[in-house]
Amino acid sequence: MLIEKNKNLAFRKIEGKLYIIDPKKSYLHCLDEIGTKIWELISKKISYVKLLNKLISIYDIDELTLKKDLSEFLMELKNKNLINISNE
Amino acid sequence: MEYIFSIGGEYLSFRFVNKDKNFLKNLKNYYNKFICKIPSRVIPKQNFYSQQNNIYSFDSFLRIFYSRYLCEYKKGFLIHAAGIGYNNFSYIFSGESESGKSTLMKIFMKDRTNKLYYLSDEIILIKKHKDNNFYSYSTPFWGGLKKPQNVENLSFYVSKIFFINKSSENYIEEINFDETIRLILKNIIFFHPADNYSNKETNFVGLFWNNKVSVNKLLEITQEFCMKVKCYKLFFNKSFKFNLIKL
Repeated sequence: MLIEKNKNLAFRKIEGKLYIIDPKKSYLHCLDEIGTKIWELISKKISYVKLLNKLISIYDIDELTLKKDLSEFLMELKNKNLINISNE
Repeated sequence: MEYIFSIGGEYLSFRFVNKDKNFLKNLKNYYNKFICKIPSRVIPKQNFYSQQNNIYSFDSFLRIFYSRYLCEYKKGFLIHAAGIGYNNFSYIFSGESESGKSTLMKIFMKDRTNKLYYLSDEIILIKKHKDNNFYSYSTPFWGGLKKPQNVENLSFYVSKIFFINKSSENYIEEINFDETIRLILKNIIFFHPADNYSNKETNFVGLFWNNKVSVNKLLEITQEFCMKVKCYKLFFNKSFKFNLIKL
């Protein structure tokens, strides 16, 4: 599974948080510190496994919990049209 | 005979043609420097339009046009807000429709104890100067109140911005940075859904809307503004007085 940011978005990191605007829909989204880190890691197309491994190396969290949280987070981003997910 | 007028500046401009001399004269009187003279040769032909005698559609177009023009080329933005000037400082009162912008302005207009200048009860222009400070400007865009005489070309240093709410009591709350960013962006006219503009202006909205570069610049200037200017929430009722907030 490959994850990639939607290229049509405007975004800016301000005081540790990421503000993302979809100019077509005029929606404002805000990501917290961990969400911002994930956003930075998917700045280029990246596989789910590689992303998961990078997060495990950064955060002190068990793999099972991280897998669950990451999957939920990525689905949320996808539903909001902020990322594209494709098969490898 | 056709009469020509233009809006914009060096980088982004539109030319309009209208056959009614009086209509054009009225537009120039009302919008003052928001309409300017740009030689037709510098305006791309795709930006030539015939302007119908509809002041409302033209007003909508101008608001959208300057929203993009300011953030792309002038380090500024239009914000949904009422504003007043006092002693070289301006106080901005931002909020969506029905939040009380015109009500507050009426209160200020009745105030005889302070010499206040009225910027608008609907949309204020905010721009960063070379001194790195933000200044507010009067606009021809008024809401519930009629634009008073002699309010053109007013400019003041931005002192404070208040996000307003009608309430049973008068009080002020400090707000954190995150909420400030959200409230500012929410009230910048650039983000009005395209559906709000009917008929021919819809096309113009689309033209400006899907523009990532403009939105990125807007985020950048909004961040600078929020770091420079003190932001609060203001709850007010009809007994509110300017003296409660002045420096």
